[in-house]
Amino acid sequence: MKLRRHPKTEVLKEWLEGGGSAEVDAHIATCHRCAESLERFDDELPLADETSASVSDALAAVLRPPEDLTDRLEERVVARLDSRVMFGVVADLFGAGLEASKLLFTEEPPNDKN
Amino acid sequence: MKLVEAPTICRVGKPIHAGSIVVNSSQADSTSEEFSDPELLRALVEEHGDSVYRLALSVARDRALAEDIAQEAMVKAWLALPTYRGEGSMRGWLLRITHNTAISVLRSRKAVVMDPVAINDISASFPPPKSESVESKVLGNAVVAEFTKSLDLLDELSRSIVVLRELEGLSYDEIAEILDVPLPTVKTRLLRARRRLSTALKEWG
Repeated sequence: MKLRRHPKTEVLKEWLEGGGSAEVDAHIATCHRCAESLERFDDELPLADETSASVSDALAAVLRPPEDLTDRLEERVVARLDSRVMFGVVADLFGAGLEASKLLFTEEPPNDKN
Repeated sequence: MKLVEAPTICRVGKPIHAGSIVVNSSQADSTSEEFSDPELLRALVEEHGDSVYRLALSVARDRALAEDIAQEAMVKAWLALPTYRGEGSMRGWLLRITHNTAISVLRSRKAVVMDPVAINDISASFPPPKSESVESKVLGNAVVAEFTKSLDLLDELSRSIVVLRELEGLSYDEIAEILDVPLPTVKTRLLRARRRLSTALKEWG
């Protein structure tokens, strides 16, 4: 159900801390005015930006790619692309074989003249 | 083909800015099967592989699956490269393909990976604190566990948004376009996700 009005300040602050109903969630997802209010509250409330660098650092560490990712990924992509080409060749050969067998085993069309 | 400092993709006489990947006009006009410059592929993977993998991992939360998704996304991007119109950044284009691929892979598996082994595997990559003392090792592990748990508790969309902003440094507009969500969604989810993750780090000082 859609909200008829913008949520109150307390509701927005509660949402910012992880609370709020599905209706509030849906409203905030598309409301520019509420987004601006939330940005303001985020500045006012403790934790604003002071730990942002730490979050980036922690994310970078937790989601760090393996050192040999580039080599492995390239190898896998090349293998996939090669297999696509091979599949195409096999499909073509199969198609050609099918056409050939059709020609060999299809009965001659009846001669209209007889 | 050379990597250049002021990078462009040149297609039929029309230069397109796109990272440091350079596609010459004959390649751009080729069909995907003919589009097979190993140096170009290497450049694409080298330049964007990490970003693609990180986004895939943030969605899938499983390293093996993230590599599968990254591979699939790269293959899709490679095959679609001749049709890349150069609108927006190539990284944005690739990340959009990656996100769509990740969502599609997860849907096909009918469940988001919640394997605790996989989550531990992610945590295992978090670097230990510089000091080698027992206290700091314990503290480091606790921070990792708390942060990973908080990251894991975020919904998929919020994880993607926070990764695209904090790690890839993309603008709100770019993130909204990549994830195909309204701008306020990006702004507000990011604020909330940052607070949750910051809290996890702060609790351990």
